[in-house]
Amino acid sequence: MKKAFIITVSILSCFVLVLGLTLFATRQNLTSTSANLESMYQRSLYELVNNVNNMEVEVSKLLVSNDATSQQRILSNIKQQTGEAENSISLLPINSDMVFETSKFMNKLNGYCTSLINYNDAKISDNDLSTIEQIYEYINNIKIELNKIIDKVMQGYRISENLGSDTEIGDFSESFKNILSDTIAFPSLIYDGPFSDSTINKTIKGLKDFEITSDEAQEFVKEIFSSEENLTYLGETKGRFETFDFVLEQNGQKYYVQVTKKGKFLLTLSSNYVSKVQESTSDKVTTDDVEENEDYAQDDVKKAIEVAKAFAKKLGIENMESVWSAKSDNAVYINLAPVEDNIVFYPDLIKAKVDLNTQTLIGWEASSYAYNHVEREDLIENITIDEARALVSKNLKIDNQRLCVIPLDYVGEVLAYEFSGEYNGYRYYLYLDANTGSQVRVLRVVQTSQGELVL
Amino acid sequence: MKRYLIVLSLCLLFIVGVSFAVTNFILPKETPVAMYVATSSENKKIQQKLKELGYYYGNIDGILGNQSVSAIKKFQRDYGLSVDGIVGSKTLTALGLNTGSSGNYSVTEIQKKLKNLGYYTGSVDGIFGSKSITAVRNFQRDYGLTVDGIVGKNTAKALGLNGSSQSSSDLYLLAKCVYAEARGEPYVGQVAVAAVILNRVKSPEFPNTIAGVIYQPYAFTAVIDGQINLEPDETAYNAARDAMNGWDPTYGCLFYYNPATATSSWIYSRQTVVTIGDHVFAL
Repeated sequence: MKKAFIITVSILSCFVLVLGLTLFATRQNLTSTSANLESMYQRSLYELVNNVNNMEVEVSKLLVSNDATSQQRILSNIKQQTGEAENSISLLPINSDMVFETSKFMNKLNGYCTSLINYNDAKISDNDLSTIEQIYEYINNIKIELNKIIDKVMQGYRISENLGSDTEIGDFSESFKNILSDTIAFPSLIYDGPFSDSTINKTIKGLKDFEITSDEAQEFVKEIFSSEENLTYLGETKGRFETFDFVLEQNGQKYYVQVTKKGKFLLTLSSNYVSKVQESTSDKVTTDDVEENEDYAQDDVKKAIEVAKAFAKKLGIENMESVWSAKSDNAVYINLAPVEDNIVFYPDLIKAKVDLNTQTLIGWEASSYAYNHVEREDLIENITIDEARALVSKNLKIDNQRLCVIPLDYVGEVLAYEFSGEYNGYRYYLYLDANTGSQVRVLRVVQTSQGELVL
Repeated sequence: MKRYLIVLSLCLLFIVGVSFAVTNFILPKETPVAMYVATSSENKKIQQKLKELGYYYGNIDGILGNQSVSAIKKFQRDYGLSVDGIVGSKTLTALGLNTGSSGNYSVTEIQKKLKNLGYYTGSVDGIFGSKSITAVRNFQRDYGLTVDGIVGKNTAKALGLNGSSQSSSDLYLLAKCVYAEARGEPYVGQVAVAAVILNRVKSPEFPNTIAGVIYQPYAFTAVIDGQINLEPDETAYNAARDAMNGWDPTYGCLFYYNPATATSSWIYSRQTVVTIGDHVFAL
């Protein structure tokens, strides 16, 4: 009896000891993890405060400098600070809806500075200066609020201990709420640059001016896909485009189809079409075979392009040519653009996806076309293609040239000459403004594991 | 008798408890090491190299015994590698014996190409092991190249590899997030989730890179609970690829939520655009 008791007690105490040790080890581990986390959070916060403090100083400098060169220097300083601030914000554990406005402000200010820097040498206009005054107010407000938060941290406030839970917004997130003060109006920044209000609220120009009902849309889908059965109406999408959505089942495959309410236009076709890969039966492949396969693949892509073009024609979209295609597994993405009078219209791209094994159209995306396609007028080039060609770097061995319209980075489009060629084993596309001869864009083809990419 | 039963069960409990504690907390978590399954001739090379460097004094017999392992460990310690006595790809590189990944070409790419051509039968895992080397050698033999198992300039050319190839890390990240967030959803719902991420990248309210958007604190539950680390399937890849090519069935949405599980009441204040599967997409 006594023996058993002793054994039991000793085993139990051993157990407790081990448990205790384990818990201790776990706690040590946790402590160092959370300390690491806290340090990272604090670092981001300190950096953010630092960026905003600098920004406040730099923006105020803008208000008193009257010299183009120094204004440019200050602007690029501010631009850098906003970029860093945005980065710090996104690293902090704040519910995103608490920092939307702050984030937006940083990004927009960044874009605004970029656009101001782009006006080479020019001094900041009076109009812009008054916007900058508003910006200063806003920054100053952010600065005051942020400094309140950092003061708390300096007095021992721990960010990682105030994160809240799934259902409750933490104190730390909450403290960012005050930054969105209602008392100061957010300066509306309209400029030719990234995140400008004008780029975000694009207007739809390419749709015809009439509206259809869901029944009419259904008829339209049936007509296109020559299918009577298995068409289900899902409802409406009310995003930037208003569409009627359907699911179409054909040959055991589901397609998601979206037709615009305005102008009866097939906007999107999506499907997860995966045809079976044909297993190669031969054990060894010789060089000839590989080359043959390559040729074969090229043929397949050519056929696929015809499939896409035929589909466009069926929808009443004429003159489409393939301007770019990228193979990815058994499918090929084809970019079609309208070509009229030998001018390629890049803003009106339609993307088609075709399965290479069965040559079926499995995807269609025409929102760029719907946004931009209009009859262009006054497309007159001021300089000839030879004059433009003389301006291209001698390094590039040009093997292709044509006239085209390309979208500008943010708003608008421009008539340009396209020159493509190789340098040092890489393929480049150069675009020169057909009126001024200035180089508007240069692209390089980058090989990725998912096919080619233009950057 | 009863007492013994109690003692016995306590003992069992103790053992279970201890082993649980040991495996979970006390032993350091082992990170999987890319094992280099070497043939004896390759082991000989390792021994030879270690001998040249003054770490190994035994016979070069192709058997990695105790002496070899302690030599490897010593070598790993001196070269700042993790000291495990296993010749993984890093150790192999440090020894100057890594035949495959000559830096310019990704091992995954090499394996993919070899697999497509029917030379490589293993899994595409990015580890240049003996299977890969054998595949390279066979390929080189058939193509009349120098049979050395090294993917140099000529072999790479014959394989159709471009030295400038870069991995599409953005696509991978996007596919991961799609898989973690929406793997049970209809295909178009997965495209929509990918599109929301890309719309956020373009929107000023959110970070400006795909990684920034995905890893923004509290942005995606899949990141919070670690599901983001699951390996995406082909469907998720397809959806991500479609979205990157411009497909956006939501036409500009920045948010989505599952009305059955959404906890934030704020989300309901956004303008709803469309419901796809279990997700409501909003502007």
